[in-house]
Amino acid sequence: MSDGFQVIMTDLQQAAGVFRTEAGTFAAIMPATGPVSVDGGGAEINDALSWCWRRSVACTRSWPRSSVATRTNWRPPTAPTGTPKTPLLR
Amino acid sequence: MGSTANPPPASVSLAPFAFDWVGGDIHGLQMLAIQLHGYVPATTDVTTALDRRAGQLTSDDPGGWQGSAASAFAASWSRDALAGGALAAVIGQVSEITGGLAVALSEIENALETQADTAARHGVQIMPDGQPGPQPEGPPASTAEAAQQQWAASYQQVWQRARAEAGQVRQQAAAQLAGIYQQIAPPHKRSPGGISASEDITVSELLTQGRRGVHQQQGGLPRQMLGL
Repeated sequence: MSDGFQVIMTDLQQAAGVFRTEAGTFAAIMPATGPVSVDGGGAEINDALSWCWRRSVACTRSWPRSSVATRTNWRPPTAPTGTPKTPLLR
Repeated sequence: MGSTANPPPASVSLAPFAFDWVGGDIHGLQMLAIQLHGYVPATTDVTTALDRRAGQLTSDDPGGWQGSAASAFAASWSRDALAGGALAAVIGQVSEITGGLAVALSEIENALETQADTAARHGVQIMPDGQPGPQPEGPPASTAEAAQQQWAASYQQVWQRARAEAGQVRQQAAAQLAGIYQQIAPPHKRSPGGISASEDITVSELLTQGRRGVHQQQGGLPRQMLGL
């Protein structure tokens, strides 16, 4: 078996499911509608609160970014195509 | 969270106040701090759960995912895990700053209202917004009027100082929040001379610089939160 394929596909699929689920949970932790209604008493503080909120929400929406398993279009590798229909060895 | 963690904003009492003279929704700010504080464990719970699953997936046990792809995934997840923990730390910092602002404003409001009450008992007119009422012009006609004018002048100073202090604590909080924002802002919105550009909030940025400009930080580091 070549390097990189020593993996049980079901485990990888399950892990991908967990990642997708938890990524959804993570994204839903902070509501997109932020503290716009909370008045800090000045434009400067209100702007700063709003920036921090919006950016934090954006970060939760895009996390985890670099894990392959969380990509919506990610699928576990399939068997190579062209596999003989008739086993070579019986 | 360890024993060094800051107390939740809900356990920090605001100074009592009845009006809204220094400006801002003080109770709303405290509620926001409480709300943000609640996101921290929710955030770390997800990170911990995924960390556990990723660890199982790439374990050295027989049947574990091994090889170059597994190593790449593990390294990638490791960065994500730390970034997730760092984001939780950032949210916690915003909570602390917001809660701290609410407490500070409530103390200023409380002090102003207390002084206004005392001044009113000495005949000073207090306007609905907390300002001292108009003062009679010219020399006082009696010692009682002279005393009243002194109280009015004294309260005028208190009112001005309270407004100035409220503005100052707001400015400090805004500067701290702006500092935090600089750590998590998209690269094109970061100020020159700031942290290195990257598409992600990166581990090194948030771990080493995320706390810059934020005083009274006692919370655990992201690594501690992640149990790493």
